Amino acid sequence: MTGIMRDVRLAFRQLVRYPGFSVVAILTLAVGIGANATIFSLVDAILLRQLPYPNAERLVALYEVNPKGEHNVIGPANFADWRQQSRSFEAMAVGIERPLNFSGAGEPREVRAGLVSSEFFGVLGVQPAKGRFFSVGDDRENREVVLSHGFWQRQMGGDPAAIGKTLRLNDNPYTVVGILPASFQLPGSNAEVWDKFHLVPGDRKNYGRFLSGYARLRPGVSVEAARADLSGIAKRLAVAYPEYGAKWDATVVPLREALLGDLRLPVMLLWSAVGILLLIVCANLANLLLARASGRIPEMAVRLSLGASRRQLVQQLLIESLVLATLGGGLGLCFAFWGADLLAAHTSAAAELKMNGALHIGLSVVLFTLAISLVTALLFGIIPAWSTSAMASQGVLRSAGRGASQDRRRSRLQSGLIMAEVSMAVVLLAGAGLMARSFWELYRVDPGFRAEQAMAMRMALTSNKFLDPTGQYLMRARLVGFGDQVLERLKARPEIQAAGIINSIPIGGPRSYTSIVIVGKPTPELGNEPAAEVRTIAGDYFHAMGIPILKGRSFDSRDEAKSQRTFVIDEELANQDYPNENPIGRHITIDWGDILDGEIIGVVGSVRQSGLKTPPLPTIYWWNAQMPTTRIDVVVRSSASPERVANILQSAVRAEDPDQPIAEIRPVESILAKDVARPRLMLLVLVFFAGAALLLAAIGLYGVISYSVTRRTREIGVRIALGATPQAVERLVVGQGMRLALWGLAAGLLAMLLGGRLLNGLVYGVRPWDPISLVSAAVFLGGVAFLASWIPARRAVRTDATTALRQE
Amino acid sequence: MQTRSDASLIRLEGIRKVYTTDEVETHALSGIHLDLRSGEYVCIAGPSGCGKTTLLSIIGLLDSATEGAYFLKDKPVTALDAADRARLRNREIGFIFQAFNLIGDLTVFENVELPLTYRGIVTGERRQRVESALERVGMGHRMRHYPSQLSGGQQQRVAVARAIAGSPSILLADEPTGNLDSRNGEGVMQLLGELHRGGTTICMVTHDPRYAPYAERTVHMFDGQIVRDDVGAPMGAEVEVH
Repeated sequence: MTGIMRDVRLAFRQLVRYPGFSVVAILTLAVGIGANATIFSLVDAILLRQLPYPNAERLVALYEVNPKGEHNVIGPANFADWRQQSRSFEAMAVGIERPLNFSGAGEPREVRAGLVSSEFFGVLGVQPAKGRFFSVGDDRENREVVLSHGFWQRQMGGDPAAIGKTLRLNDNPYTVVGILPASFQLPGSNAEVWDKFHLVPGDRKNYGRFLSGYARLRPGVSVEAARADLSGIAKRLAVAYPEYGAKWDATVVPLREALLGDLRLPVMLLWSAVGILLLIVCANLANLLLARASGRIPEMAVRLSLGASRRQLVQQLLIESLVLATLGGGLGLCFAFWGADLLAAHTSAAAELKMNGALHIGLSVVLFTLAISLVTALLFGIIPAWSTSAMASQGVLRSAGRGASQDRRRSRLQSGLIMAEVSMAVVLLAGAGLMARSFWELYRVDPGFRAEQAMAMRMALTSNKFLDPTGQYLMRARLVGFGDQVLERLKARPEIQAAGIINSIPIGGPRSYTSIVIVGKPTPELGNEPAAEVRTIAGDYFHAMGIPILKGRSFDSRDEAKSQRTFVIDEELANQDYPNENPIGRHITIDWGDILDGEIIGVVGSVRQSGLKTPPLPTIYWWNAQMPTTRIDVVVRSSASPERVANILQSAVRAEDPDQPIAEIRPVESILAKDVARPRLMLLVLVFFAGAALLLAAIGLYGVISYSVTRRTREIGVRIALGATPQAVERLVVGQGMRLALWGLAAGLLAMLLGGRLLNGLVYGVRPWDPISLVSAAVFLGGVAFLASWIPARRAVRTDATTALRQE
Repeated sequence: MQTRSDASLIRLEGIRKVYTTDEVETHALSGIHLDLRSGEYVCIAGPSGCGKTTLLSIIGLLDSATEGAYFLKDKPVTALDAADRARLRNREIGFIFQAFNLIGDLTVFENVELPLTYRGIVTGERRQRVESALERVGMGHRMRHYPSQLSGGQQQRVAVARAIAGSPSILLADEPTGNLDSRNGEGVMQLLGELHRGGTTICMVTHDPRYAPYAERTVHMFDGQIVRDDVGAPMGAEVEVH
């Protein structure tokens, strides 16, 4: 222990004696370790840590599986049968999120509400912080609400007597029965309050499928067994109710995978990138230490002659590396706090990255940082320590040529490290290039509408004024009238070029997908029915969104509530179901509880409803007057400033109803931006890492070549004496650097070619072996390598041969 | 067989060399006039610090004079740029250094071949010249060895082979026996003697009195000046200071 403390003291003395080297080394380590610590907070939350519930590994998500094999939300009737027939689960629950209007305290606003069946909190194993949850088994609609901790703090001031108090949600009184603990989170959910879902099993067709399912496995039951159980029930239901469920199945997925699964690949990519960056840092530092080694050999030789063992020399040198790495790690942890804040502040992509406590620098990250500092110290310290002690133990002879063998060995080590650095830098550069190309391809995708100069205002028309006197049924005329009045006020404004309404704005809104019947075409077999997205619109929606009308017409005054029902379809549906024929005048039938038959009056351009990456889905638009909706996005087109347009939108709503909450007003461009937020974030992070890797590799290469020029000063003097021109000397030095770089390039490109398919799920519109990305990375890095070699080459050219030849 | 001719190979006129550092001017050479003729074997002698090596560097186009004129085969070289000087040095001058200065990463063959590669000679002819030079110095059997595998005397022989492989007009030897024992030193001097008898012009710097008599002409220097220029005068004789 005394020896170790002495070595630690000596290590600090070395740091102070060579401040330039120490600062460079510590900063370099801090960047590498800090980046790893930041990303580890994501890795821990997404890949390693369980969900924050008791025995979370027993929690599963339930899905129906449609005839295409895709996971689908659940129908309440099917869920009721699963709950009755399954033997695999301790508890099962369903839920859906919906907007509710909160009023009675300040400005009315929309709140996100989780509508859940009574067992929901029991499935998760959560205990209330105050009060209770819904009574299990009681699925009556009895207007009870559970509050999130945040809502209780914000809207009720943390009132300790909140339990039993009344809130108004959708103009209805709700009794607060419980408050969730502050630590409660459901990844992917923004719910602030929790309402009870009124589960009414019965006619399957009336309800469709719209619920998320959750369950807790019975002890001893595996996920696979539960999956088989549920699938068996689903198949029996498909036989019993063929019109509803032919070729449908059901499945069970671990809840962690269901909630966080699609983040796995991006997080793995980021972790790989920072891992590569850290390896480059280690290689750079190892090279620096190797370069310094020749200066330490006399010291080491003296220590040996005084009785030190080789093990003691290696220990001393490793402790110096450890001190460097610890200081670098400490600074890196500070960088990690900053890095996590930076990531957390970056657009909505961070919202999902903050799931499960990600981007939080806690104990696990600190321990990880400590561990990685130790590993880093070993990685960059062991080769120089072993090499230096070996050279010292062999002694260094002064006679010409005999020291050359040690120099050659060290030189080979350094060259190997540089080639490894360059190869890893190429991988990061090529990866960043791929993401850039992918992002560009995504950015260029035509969404089908014109987002510029369009604003959208989201509202939920759920207050009591839209219900009949019994309070049970929606007054369609009032719903339609409210929307129409708002649109009339907007159209009267000279700043507004067009105004319309849709129930689910493209990309930003939920999907609504149903099977359809093309009248006049052969009836497909059950389970193979064509399907389409269904959207409700009003006003001049297509013009407001810049969606072209390709055939026929849009809705107008001819399409009233009592008129023949009319549909407008999109080009995708027209091409799918009416190839080579004019669909205008044809009929489509939709089973929407009631059988709805509509005549096609127009065809519009297709829109990417589900995101830029997903091709357009066949879509049917129907008229709000004929099928009113409570959830609306008012869309306007205007060249006025967004602030002005927002004021106009708010004024139009306030003029109709001052108590109508407005959920959100945002530019339509922001909806597109949100869709590309994650690839943009990935790109920015990768570009940063690739830039850091390139800089480190360039510095490393410059250092090695520069050191080589110094070491070869006499040789260069000899070459000049023998007639080497300045150009020949330059070619010699640059050639050495470029050879190292080219070998590294080749290795890196090979690695990308072999491992590129791992990026398949992350890139869009480009292949992982995209030649433009690979060649660009190679050319760029080759250019940087040339510069890093050329600078010391210029120094070599200026060698004074006379002085060089006199050197010992 | 002496093949000295009256043709001037290298002529220096009024050469001065001044080194200037922060506050100090060092006059390394003052008013040097020297004429080296083809086929001569000249020894430049003098005490340590008298300017012998500086003079050799200027003769070898490794350094430039502060003042004065330099003619190589009657052509002025003073105004040449670095690249031209390098080409001239490659063709006309062969160097032999005290510390051998072989390049450790290259084999014996590659070391001797090095000046020929700068001249752009084709591979076949290079091979011939290298083998011939190594045979001439008695090192033809060590072509694939590295310098670290040779003794000091063998390394210096290889250095001589490198110097003569390109058939230069003159060999410049700076203390060629300085790092050798007496036996190997004698061996190298015998070799230089053989080369001179074969027609090679040699200019050697040495302060070892045992080897000065190998030269047929001794130029004595003192404090940066040539104080005596004797044909056949041994070292240790009285020096006249002008």
